[in-house]
Amino acid sequence: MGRILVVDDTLFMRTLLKNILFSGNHDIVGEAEDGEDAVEKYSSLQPDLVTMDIVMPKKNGIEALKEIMAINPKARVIMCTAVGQEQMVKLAIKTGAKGYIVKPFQAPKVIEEINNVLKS
Amino acid sequence: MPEDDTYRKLFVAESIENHENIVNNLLILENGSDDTAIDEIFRAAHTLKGMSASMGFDEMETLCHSMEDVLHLIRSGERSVDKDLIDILLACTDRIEEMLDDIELGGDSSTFNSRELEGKLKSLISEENAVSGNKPGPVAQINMECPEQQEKYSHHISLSIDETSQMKDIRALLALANLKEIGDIVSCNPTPEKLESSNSGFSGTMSLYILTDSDEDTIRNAASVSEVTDITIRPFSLLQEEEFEEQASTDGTLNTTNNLFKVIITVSEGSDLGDVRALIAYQNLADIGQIISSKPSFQDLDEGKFSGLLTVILHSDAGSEALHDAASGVDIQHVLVEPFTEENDVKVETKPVSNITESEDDAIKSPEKTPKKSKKKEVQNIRVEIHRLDQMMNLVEDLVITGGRLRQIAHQYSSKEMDEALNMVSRSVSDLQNLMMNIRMIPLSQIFNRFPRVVRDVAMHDGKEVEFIMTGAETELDRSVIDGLGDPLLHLIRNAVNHGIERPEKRIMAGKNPKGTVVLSAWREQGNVVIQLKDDGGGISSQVILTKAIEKGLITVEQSNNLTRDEIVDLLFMAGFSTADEITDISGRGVGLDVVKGAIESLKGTINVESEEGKGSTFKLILPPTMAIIEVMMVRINGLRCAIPIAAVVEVARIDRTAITRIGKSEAIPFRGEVLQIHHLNEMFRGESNGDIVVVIQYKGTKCCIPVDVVDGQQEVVVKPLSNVIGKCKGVSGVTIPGDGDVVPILDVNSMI
Repeated sequence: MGRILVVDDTLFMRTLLKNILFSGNHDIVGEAEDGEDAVEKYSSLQPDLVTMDIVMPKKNGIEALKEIMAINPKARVIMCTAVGQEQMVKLAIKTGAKGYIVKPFQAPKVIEEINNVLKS
Repeated sequence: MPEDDTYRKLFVAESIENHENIVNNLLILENGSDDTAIDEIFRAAHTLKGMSASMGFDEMETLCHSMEDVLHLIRSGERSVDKDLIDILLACTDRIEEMLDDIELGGDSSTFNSRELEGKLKSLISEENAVSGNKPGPVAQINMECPEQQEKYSHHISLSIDETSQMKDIRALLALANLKEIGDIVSCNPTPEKLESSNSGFSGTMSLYILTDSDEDTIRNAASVSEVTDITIRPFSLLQEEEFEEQASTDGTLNTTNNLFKVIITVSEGSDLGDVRALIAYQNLADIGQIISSKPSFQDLDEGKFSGLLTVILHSDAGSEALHDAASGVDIQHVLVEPFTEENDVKVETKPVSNITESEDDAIKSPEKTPKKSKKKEVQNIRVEIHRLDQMMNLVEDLVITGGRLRQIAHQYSSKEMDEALNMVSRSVSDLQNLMMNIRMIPLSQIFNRFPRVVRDVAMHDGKEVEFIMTGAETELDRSVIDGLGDPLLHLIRNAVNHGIERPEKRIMAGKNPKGTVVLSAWREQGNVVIQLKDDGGGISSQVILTKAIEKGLITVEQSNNLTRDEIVDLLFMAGFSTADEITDISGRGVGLDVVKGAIESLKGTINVESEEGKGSTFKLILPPTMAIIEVMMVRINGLRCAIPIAAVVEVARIDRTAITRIGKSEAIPFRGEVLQIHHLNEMFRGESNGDIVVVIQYKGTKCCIPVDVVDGQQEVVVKPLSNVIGKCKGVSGVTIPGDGDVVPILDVNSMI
């Protein structure tokens, strides 16, 4: 299935998400723990899809998204968001994000979203 | 909810980090506004919220959410930072700490009711609202510039060319070219191809739709080429859909079922963020077509004005199936795609436009936005449980020991090839050992981080003003040393503020700054790590110590007369000594400096104090960076081997046995102008050495000597602690296993002198 780059500043969330993605038969090609790391890994790993946390140190998810979209305007990025972050998600969608998943993650919804975006 | 133990451990470990981060940055914030600190606190609180939500720890999540609301106000400048606010936020962090303790033991934070704290947080917000009238903004907002979305509007333009013009079609093409520069022509009648053809049969009236961010005047200027007599420009929106259709069918502008579509999208009611789902559908449609109009408009969607239904009119060559797919997605309940007007074969001028492709254009236009050559960053951190590192360390040690045995066996067979191979093995093993030692090193910041909070609390409790400075927190120590260091240091720091620093009025009377200073610093020195705690408080009073020591029966009045200042200060470390008149809940608890000393010594370290009355005290801890490997002198006594830590060895000397004198039960010998006590380790070695070689050892200025048969030499050894089964064994701090597989005791010099 998809080759996915998981971006989150906590190992906890990355582990949680990775296990959900594994259960959906996706491959995790890499992990990044901040926005800077995410952009670099995007370039070097060229994943099919990125799950991107928003609030992160060094460079937040929106800034990282912008840079990734500049690298590849067709990049598939899904934002990881929490209730209350509607404005940030909209900004992300306008910047080029293709979808979003809401914390706390529900495995079926996450997989549905990812499969849907991968299909496009 | 993941109830897996792995998740819980990860959760606790990362939550503790974030918790510490919040506390430390709150203290920074208390000392003055600091944007980085606010951002860090906010990020950490947000992370805690997200993680606790994922684990289903609702109480913790709710508390973090309330904190986030307040932090948001601070961030946006709507709430100033004051003591009340910091106090409440710190109280919240205390509660989080309790929750984390509970969670670590298998709880779920539900036993903690934080309504009161949340109420206080809310009152902080409402207070502010009452003053400024501001509402709390959305949480988790990131301070960043929102890229200005260039909203494009549709306009219907019709223009007429002067009847007398000789080349009406060229005029129309010129106007069209100008308009193309300021926007995208969605549809045009007649088509440009028709205008360009030799017999266009152009009547002189052109009608078109343009998608542009330019205003009406700019459009008019662009369309006003020579011989254009009449221009009408009307903004177009979906609200005028009927008119649009009517217009389109009458003037034949929009007349192709092949590329004009109306897409009606229904977002399911249960969607978390329905407006965002609609935005995604909108963007996906914009990717494969040109959106002429939508209801609600893009801007309305962006502002959250969405009732569940989105209608989009667009031009696209992709076909209705592709449009259907583009609009479909998660939480999209229903998509209806239908042709927009009745059939006509007029071709529509197209140029792909969408909001998203702007970024693509930018990337091409501006060199700074082009992707940098990706430099691969291979560094990855992984988290490993400590007990696994310990296991690994044990294995490496076993490898060292087995390597030594192999070498001895090889020696018996004196095979050169085998020796060479063994040399290579031992080099690798030694590298591996060093690597393992480094991996186990942890920066002191791990324990230093909680101290600023302690200093603040003790100072507040005592009504004192204290500036706390830490340096060298990056200095690394083996984790076994770090583990044992937290509590003793905490005790010393509480003491420094509680007993050391005076109240402001007393300091002013003494001509000092009313604000006291406590400096905690660490550095490496000659292979050891030095930790120093220095305060500019009242210092230690000899008189008070002596009175106390006599009162407690630790020394007699006669003894007290013969003590030097250093010896008097050392009394502080005697068991049962406590200078505080009453046991306070800050530094008291009945634990004295003797316990601190014991803890440091069990880490193979030393502690001493220098103090000047009226000026302050300095506690200095000298610690080995690791307890696992030490350098020893190998000796033999009565044929048995024994290791003496090199740090304690002064010298190896030959003595004249006839010079030994008996003083009571023990023996002594004059040596370089001093009289040294002789320790025969006959109990330990079932007999004593009668040779004339002694090893002179020293601990805190006191020397003694141990007679030995042979000195084998110096070497680095791996210390294996004694197992709990054996219990405490006086005179032995641990054992080591040299190459031959023997078990050799390591002398505990401290307990011998």
